[in-house]
Amino acid sequence: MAKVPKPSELELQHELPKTEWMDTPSVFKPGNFSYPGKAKNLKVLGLANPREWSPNDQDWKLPADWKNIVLEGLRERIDKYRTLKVFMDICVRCGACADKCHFYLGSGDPKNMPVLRAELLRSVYRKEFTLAGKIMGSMVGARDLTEDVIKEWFMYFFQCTECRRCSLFCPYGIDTAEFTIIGRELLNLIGCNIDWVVGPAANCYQTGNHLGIQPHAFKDMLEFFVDEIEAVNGIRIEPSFNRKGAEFLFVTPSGDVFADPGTYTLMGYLMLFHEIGLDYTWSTYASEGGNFGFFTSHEMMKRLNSKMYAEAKRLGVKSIIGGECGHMWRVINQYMDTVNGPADFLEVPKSPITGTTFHNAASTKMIHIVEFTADLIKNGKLKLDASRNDHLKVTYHDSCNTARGMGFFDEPRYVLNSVCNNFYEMPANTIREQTFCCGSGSGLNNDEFMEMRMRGGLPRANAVRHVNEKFGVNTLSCICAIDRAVLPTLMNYWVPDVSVYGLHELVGNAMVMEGETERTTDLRGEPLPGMEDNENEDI
Amino acid sequence: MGIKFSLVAVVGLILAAYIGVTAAGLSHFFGVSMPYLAMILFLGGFVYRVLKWGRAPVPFRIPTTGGQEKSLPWIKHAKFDNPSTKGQTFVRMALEVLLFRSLFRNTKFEIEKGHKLFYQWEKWLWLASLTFHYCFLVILLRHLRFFTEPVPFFVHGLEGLDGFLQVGLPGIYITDGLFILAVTYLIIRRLIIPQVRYISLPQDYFPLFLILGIGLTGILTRYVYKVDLIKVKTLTMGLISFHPVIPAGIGPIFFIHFALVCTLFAYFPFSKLMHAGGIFLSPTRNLPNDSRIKRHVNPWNYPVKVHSYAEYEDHFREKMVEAGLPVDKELEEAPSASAKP
Amino acid sequence: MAIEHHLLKHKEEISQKWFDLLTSIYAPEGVRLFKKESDEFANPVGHAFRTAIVEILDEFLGENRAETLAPLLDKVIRVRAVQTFSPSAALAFVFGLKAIAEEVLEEELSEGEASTGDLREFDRKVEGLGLLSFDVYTGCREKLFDIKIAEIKRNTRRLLERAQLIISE
Repeated sequence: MAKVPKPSELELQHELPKTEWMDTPSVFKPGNFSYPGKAKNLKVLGLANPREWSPNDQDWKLPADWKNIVLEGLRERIDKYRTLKVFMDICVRCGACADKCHFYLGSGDPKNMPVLRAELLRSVYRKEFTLAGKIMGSMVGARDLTEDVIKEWFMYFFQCTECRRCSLFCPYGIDTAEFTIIGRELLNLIGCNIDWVVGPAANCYQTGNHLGIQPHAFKDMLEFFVDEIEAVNGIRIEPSFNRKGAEFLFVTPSGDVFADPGTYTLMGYLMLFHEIGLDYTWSTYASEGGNFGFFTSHEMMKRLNSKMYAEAKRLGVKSIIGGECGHMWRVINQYMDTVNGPADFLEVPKSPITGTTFHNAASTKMIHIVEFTADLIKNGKLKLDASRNDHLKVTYHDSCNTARGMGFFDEPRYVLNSVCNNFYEMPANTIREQTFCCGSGSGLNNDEFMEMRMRGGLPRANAVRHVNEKFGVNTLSCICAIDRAVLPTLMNYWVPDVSVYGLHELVGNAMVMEGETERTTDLRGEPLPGMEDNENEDI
Repeated sequence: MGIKFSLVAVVGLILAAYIGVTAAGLSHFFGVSMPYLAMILFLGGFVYRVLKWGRAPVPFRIPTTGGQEKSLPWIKHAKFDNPSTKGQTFVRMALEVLLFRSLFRNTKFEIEKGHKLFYQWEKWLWLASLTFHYCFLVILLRHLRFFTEPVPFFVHGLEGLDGFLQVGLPGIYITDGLFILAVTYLIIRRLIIPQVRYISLPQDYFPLFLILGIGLTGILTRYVYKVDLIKVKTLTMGLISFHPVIPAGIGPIFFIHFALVCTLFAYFPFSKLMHAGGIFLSPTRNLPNDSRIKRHVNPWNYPVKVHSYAEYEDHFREKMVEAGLPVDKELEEAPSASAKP
Repeated sequence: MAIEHHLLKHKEEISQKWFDLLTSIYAPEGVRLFKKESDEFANPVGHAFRTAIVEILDEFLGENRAETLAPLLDKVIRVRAVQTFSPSAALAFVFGLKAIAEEVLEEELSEGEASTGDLREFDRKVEGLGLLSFDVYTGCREKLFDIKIAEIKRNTRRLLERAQLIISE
């Protein structure tokens, strides 16, 4: 019988025994892992080894020849990706990346250092693919592929949000996200995935979007927002769906359709397009901008992304506009044209309002709504009353994917500065290319992973708290659907008096629309500055 | 474990060279065979590695963008942190290779101590690495005087610059001192920072000890044992003209230095030292961020199973018609659809 | 009050020891990270611990008001509450203050400037701090459950509202 430990014994429990990282097993505890993929979802996507299992189980029910499958998979990928091949060999373990990872900063767990996350895969590579590793084994950092290694991969490749902050600081540009993406691909070959990734991917594949909203319900939801907008400013908007011959197809993450506060951002899109009289259509088939396939494998990313071009072709639009989303835009910017192009049936996007041609999207033919709006504002095509956002003191969170996978910094800031009067930047080493992750990206935004998310999000929240205390910031704006879903939760825990807004919600608030009735509230139904006492006639 | 192993290996090499030359009469091996073998391994290995990397395709264009992308004309483009053309990418790579741009991003920090602000400089790793690599380069170039006749002007120039602090004879080279300092810093850092120590492998310590050994023995040959440079040059010139000769009386310290250098060259292509070649092939740095402007082709792109619109409409036709959504095939045209759930 | 007077003289030593104790629970590779003095944005956990500890000590050895101490303790405990520690391990550092006090007062005790009776009194005060920490910890954990539920609701609120399963305010 163990005695009740003294406080001093509790404090030191982690210090001993001290083991090398290869000998430290992964312990799955509630809060540090996500639930495994459900068999039915794996079946929809045709993924390997559908079964019921849990990471807590001793037996993961891997296929009999799992080791072969993984090693063959690794061999194939080393020959297919120069990133992987080069990154396997050139790391000098200088440690410059170590304290750049938000999970390491929040937990202190050394296996969350990017270099070690990569070594999890490299160690197996050395053993199987290098002569020195075969001969000298652990002396040169090589080790056998065992079930424990698979468990470790599962734990740590699903504790990385693919934010690429480490890659920015690496003197050789080694990108841990590549290890994570390919590590997850390997795990998928033997049926180890998390349900928060394969569930949405399966829905998206079958129904068109992550939540599995059926076409009629999708239309219904948007019409519901039309009513809400009318209640705010008396304007009746009539969006169209699956309409052939429209000039633009608009695709946004489905999170904006069903989850607050993304819904308000979506109202902003509707209002903007109505105000400028854009000839565009929504699609119920390509009703998902986000791509949880990207968190499964390159192939799954391609399978889900294919709908955008396919639908644009079917509807005969000229070009595509994409809504506010992070990883969606990494896929569009760095993968879409390569995997599903060429989009030779589309035209180089041109704003029908300002006449601006978007040469930076000459090949993909798809533009970001924020650059579209920035161009409208720059050309004076929108009537804006920034004072309507005066009740908000705003800061801006750069989402990792648009930051380090695109370089999308000044477009959103230009729009922000045009639609609100109180904008404050967070400290320099937490924004722009050095931005900290929300802690919940790459499919880790599930509720069972909450503790890990809260500590991973701490570096971001901490910077928000700083501007909250210093300038009284109460609004965290962003251009990412996952951010909109998870930052409210993060703020709720760390900086409770800060709310989260999508950029186009602020645009929707500030935009003075043709023929609108006097607004007394913002899109959330909160009174506008100066209207607080509207119901009391004495003021 | 890794430290001891690496240290023993380097000390072993030194002893082997010393005993080999002084007691076993292996001057020919250490003076001729070893350098030739090392050069073959170095050149062959280097080319093999680079070709092997180069053979792997670059399926996707995934640069890590470190600044504002090329966007609307009135938005200032960060050309060298987020290049959109080959020329800009060249500059980015040059900054990376020549100035270690990414490592330089480790910012300085502000610390508040009782209402006073302190700045902590976080660029020591950058400074030490840069010093180390440049000193290595200068030292390497200075050594050209052993392999050229007449010695090119720039080698004399370098020697002049490097040795302008003329203290006694022979003149002290600044790079020698800085080089030893920088290597020592890199070793100590690896030993005392727990995170870095935790991730360090024998192959991280070995080259550091080897290089430190090269530096120290080099200094010994010059300042302490004062090896006869004319004889050394006879040997080196013999090597590169493929008429090797071993002049008598060069002294074991030279052979130790030489053996360590040969080991470094031979070891180079099979180790992490290949980062020197790898950085040029790193797809997150050497590609422009232009994948929306130009199509990038993946050589192994293959067709995948997709869920087509037709399948989708078949699945949902009834509900779509009921909701007033346009369909490609009306209900009566596709009788089979109504059978579906 | 006398013992607090003595302890305040050793404030720096106490805060250093307490900080060491607080971080000793992490793996050494994490300890170094948290102990490293860097800016609060590059090292939020370490910074929070370091600043909070001094503030807690100031208040605890001074006025010792519960309403002031709770938010200060919260700075440390809010982090601990999401780091997969058992509640006992997360809060053990508070009780460590007893031993630290005895250690730093060695001289005063031997010279009779402070008595063991004083020390016992101080121990009881630390226990009070421990109980307060328990409240704070529980508050953080409850918050964690609340935000989980709030997130699930937020993610589907519009659908439920549309399906008229709930009524919008």
